[in-house]
Amino acid sequence: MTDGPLIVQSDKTILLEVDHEQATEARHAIAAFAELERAPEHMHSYRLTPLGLWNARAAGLDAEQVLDTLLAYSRFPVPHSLLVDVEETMSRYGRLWLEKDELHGLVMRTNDHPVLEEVLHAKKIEPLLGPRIDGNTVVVHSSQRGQVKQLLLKLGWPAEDFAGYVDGAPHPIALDETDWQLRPYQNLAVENFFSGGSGVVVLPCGAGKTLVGAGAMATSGTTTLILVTNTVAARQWKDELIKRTTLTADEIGEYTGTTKEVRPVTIATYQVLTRKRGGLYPHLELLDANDWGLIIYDEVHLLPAPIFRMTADLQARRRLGLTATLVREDGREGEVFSLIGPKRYDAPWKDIEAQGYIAPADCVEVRVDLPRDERVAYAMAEDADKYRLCSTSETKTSVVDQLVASHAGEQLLVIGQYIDQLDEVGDRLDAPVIKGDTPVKERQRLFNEFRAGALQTLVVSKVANFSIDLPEASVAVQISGSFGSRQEEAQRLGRLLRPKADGRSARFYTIVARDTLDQEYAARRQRFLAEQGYAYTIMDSTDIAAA
Amino acid sequence: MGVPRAVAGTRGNVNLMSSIRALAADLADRSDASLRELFAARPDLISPPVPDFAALAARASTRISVQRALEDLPVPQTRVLEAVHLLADEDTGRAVSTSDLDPMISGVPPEIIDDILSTLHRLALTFRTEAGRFLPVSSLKEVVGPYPLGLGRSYQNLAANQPEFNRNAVDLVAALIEYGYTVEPADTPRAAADSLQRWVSDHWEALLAAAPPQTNDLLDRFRHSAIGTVPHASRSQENPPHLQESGGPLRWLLARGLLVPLDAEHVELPRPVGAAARGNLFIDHLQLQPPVPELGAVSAARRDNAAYGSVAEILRVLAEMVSSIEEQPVATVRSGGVGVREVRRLSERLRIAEQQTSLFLELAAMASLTFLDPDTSRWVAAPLAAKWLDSPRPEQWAQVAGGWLASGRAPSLVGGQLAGGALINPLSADVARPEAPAVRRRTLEALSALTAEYAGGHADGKLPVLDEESVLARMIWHQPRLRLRFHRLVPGILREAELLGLTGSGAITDVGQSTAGGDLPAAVEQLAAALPKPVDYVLLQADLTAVAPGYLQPALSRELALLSDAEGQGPATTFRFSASSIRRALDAGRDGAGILEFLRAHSATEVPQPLMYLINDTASRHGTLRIGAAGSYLRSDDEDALTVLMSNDEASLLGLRRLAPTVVVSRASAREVAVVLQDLGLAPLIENDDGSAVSAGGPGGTAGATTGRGGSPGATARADGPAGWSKTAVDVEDGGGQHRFGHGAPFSMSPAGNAGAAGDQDEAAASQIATLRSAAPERSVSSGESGPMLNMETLNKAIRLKAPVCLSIVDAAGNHMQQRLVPLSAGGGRVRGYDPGKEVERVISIHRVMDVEMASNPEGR
Repeated sequence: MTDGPLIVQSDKTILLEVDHEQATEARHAIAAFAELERAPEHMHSYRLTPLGLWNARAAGLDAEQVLDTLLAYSRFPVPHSLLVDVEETMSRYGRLWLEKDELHGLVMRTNDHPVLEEVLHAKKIEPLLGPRIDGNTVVVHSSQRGQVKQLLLKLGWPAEDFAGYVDGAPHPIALDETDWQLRPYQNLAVENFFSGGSGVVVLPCGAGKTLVGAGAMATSGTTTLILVTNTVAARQWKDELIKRTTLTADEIGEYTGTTKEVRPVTIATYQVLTRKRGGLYPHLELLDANDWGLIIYDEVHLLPAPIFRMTADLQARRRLGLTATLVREDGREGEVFSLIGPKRYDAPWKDIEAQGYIAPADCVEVRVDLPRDERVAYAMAEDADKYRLCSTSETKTSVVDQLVASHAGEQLLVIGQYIDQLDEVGDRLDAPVIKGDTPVKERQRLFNEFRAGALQTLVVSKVANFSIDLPEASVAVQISGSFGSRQEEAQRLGRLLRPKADGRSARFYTIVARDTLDQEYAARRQRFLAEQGYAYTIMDSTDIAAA
Repeated sequence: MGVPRAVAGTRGNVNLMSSIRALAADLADRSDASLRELFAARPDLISPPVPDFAALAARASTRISVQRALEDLPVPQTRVLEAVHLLADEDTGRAVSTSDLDPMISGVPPEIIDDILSTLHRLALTFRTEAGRFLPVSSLKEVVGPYPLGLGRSYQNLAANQPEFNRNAVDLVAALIEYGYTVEPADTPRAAADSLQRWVSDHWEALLAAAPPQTNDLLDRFRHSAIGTVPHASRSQENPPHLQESGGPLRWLLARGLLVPLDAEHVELPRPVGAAARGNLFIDHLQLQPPVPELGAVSAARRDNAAYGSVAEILRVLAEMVSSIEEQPVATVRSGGVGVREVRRLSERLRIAEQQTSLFLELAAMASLTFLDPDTSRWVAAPLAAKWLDSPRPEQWAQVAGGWLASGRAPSLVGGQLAGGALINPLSADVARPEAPAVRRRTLEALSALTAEYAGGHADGKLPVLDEESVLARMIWHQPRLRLRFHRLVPGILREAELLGLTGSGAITDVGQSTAGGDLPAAVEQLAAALPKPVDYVLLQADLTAVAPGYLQPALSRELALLSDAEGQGPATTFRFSASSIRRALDAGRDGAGILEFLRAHSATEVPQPLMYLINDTASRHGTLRIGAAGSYLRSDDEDALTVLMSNDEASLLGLRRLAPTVVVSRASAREVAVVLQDLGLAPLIENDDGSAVSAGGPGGTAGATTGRGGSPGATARADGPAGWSKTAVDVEDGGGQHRFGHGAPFSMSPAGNAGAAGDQDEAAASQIATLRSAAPERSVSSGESGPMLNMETLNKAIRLKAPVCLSIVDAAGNHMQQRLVPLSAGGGRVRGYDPGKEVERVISIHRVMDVEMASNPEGR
């Protein structure tokens, strides 16, 4: 066997030894068909999944190439059963495909008769299909294009979609590249997306997904519907588009809880589309309000279920999914694959990091000892109150003071879950607090001031932290609770914190009460952070002065 | 002819000469070289050694020996031998020559038939009556069975053994005569059989000419088997076929006795009919060469990848299984073997499929890593297992592969159904197959031979993929009589060979070649070269894991398994540290500093700070509450009083231990302590649970104070740590696999041993030939081993021929006497016969019969 950097496990994970001299080559080679699962400092682990393998097939890779890659870079014999499984799985993709037939409209064809037979006999698929034309062809009701693809994937026979797209109403859009340029990988992502038709572009946080969207819009030159997670994100998209493209504010409409504008480029939130009134979705009309030539889904991994159902009906329109990870906490990766499309571009995070476009932050866990009376109170408390008790310990507030003092002159955020605690910290630091009841306008003002540097310290609650983009912050202190879900936390860290100009890396402090539930939760989060490749250290509160 | 006197006999012609005697003469006539060849081919003939040629001939004629010899015959020899058996008639002395056989075998030149005949002769399956003519040994008919070459039984045999035919035969002949056929009349079933036989042989052409259409097609279906299934046989029983009717071919044949009903659904084509239908051409296609299959191909790299990956995997899983069984033995169920619940438990533990678990249970037992503890009826880890776990992987493999090769069990049968419908459990008696080792050897040989043939024809460096079908076809050609066994066992053996790395992707590996050649040490060396060296370090990461980038040294792996929880399936193991895993290690006697030192020593990277924190934090909290056993406590606010007491000799008997300045515990009970303290002139108070005082009791007023002195006081629950730790650390350093273990399995590990065995065999053959040649010629043939067999053979022959014999009998008083008798039957230890002198029937116990001779003149009749 070779002395390669990969270890292929029989449980379908692949370990990559990062310090190996061939590690970079191997990473590139396997990124095409395996999903990065964990990226701690020495051994990264990837997983082989049917979807990953089908994504590779969609990108033009065949099983032989995948096997050769595994065998070439593997240090030890590759489990034979795994090789057989890869071959078998990959051979299932593309045996069925959807295409336009001049005579019959949308049809499903196969070059493997028994597969079509198997599929035709599946109870759920049968009603979606029209008459059989010949042994290898069957008509598909064009309204059922998405559903058929979804069900075929469930049966394990993912179909390729060659049926094409409607052109959509043309609308000239161009990039305004006067003081910036689309980065090479962003360009490549746009190209890959267009040659593939529809699909998902995977880029790490902070790598400029919005710009990939803008690039796609410019290439498409049609009316575009952009679906985003929330209002703040919608604002940011709008600002960014105005800044980076020839579009003007009049051409961009917002379709949110407060404003309902339909313009050539419309940005809508998932929330408003999925709002239900009397068992109906009143805002669904938006999807038909315009002859959209392109639909962009921001943060595909957060796409709510009703949107999938709507997307199933939109199969004739070009769809671009943007995300940092294909892994969904609800396991609906298959729906993303079948309804939005296969992965069209995936930049290994480490590459983009190496190119200097993004940088992870240093994470520091500061452990504080609860004072004796709080310890006793904690020990006697009801289980339901324990977490609040230890998270809001008084000692934490003084630690925040020390940290803020040690980072004087830097843009600093304090993040917490409990309003009382945040108000107290805000008072002590003499800093504004953004929380749930802060109006959107006020939030915008404070964020802008912070970005401009007029405001150096900002205290924010958990409810206010969705999609904030504050690249100027270089220090964050989390005093209680967790910063969104684990996944979000890791992702947003990169977006939130930038290395300082002098090369000092950004800091993310978490203050944790020792020997309590707080520490237990922190341990889980740390594991996730470490797995995402964030270096983190532990520090005792008494050592802060030294740090 | 240089036939020894005693063997040649003096009486009777060769027809009447016993076949054993004739074979003995034939054997004695052979050269030493030819005998040596015979002994090499049939080693059971001289094990144990025989005293003389007669005994040798007798043994060569036993059913079991002939059966063994036949099992080793390939297709051409087997078929020709069956043809010889068909044509020869021992009773009439009709021997068979090439010219007899030639017309019955199509497409084979006479020289080859000659060759095959002489091979059969060399193997002592036939003996020569005169130049070029051979008779088969007498027990051949039992071994071949009633259907040689797929032909049915003779009419005579059917009349004797088929009651329905026996009843109808006479009527049938009468009916045929009445219908106008030229059949000789008969009045007994036997005579009817004879006349039917002659009728078919003489008039077949004419008969067939008058048969309904499609009769030939029907007969053709009996070409390979004499028994057929007929769907409407029951109907034909209610409505017997008539000669006059014009039904289909089936009823036409049945009506004329050309097809004989056996039961409601089966019919048999009698031998003369079958022979005539085949035009007396018994063998229409004799496959002289083994079949050459079309084989797929695989590259050596792909093959080795599959094979060595599999070896690493099974050793990993086996090690995990054995460790698991060390902790928790595997319970058996009353019906035998390991029940489904235990299998499921192990499967979950090992994260493998249940079917795999069954196989691994069998493999572990085969390799003597586990054994059934008769006291508990549980499978426990063998003493050897610990050593095995620490051995280098090639040696581990040798133990497993050796055990597998030698094992008389077929694990592939697990999960199959028993006759009652129950499933076969792993490690149950139902899986035992004594022939398994031989079949395994044959399978490996077939793999090796097929590969060698293929490699000759292909130059692209690819290796043949040996599929089940090709291997089976080859093996069955070599040993057609083992067909059923092969079909049952070979598929499983091939799967297991793939697991053991003897084949990879279906192609035999170098390791497999060596194993097939019986050279396990060479296989071990090849494996050692192919398997990656074990690693002796891990990579520690900030997510609190340690990744072993390969197979970890067993001792290191064990220690890590204590400190952390292993994850993942495959060549690399991920160890995850957690507070609970560190606590487990601390409980086992490790300490924080020791754990860190161990990790530093075996990590290729820095110990990450979070891990250090975890270990130190956990260690610092560990043991803050301490527990120990004590019989009673002593407390006093006067610390000095306690100090004085501790130094008192008398008080030392109480096993006192000071826990704190004001607290002392004793192993003795409170009352006992009180007594001793009172003796010392002190005034103790005994406390209740709530701390209130009860009386300490008057002097001597307390009975029941038990002694319990002696032994070491003050044992605490916590094991002493540092010593235990450092010892382990030393173990780890030295655990590089210097251990060797003995091989429990009865499989020879050394090629020298095999060569030795071969040498022994040569020697045995030489000494056997010397014994045979020097055997006293006047030694009675009926003595020793050959006697009883000869007697039985003579008796059976006399029964068949209804000929009188002369019996030498010893009566209960030990007197010799001669008895002249026409034997009627022999069996159940008795011979029944008709005494022509006294005209009565007599029954004699066979063990009283010392000798049997055919009476030279049949005057007694």
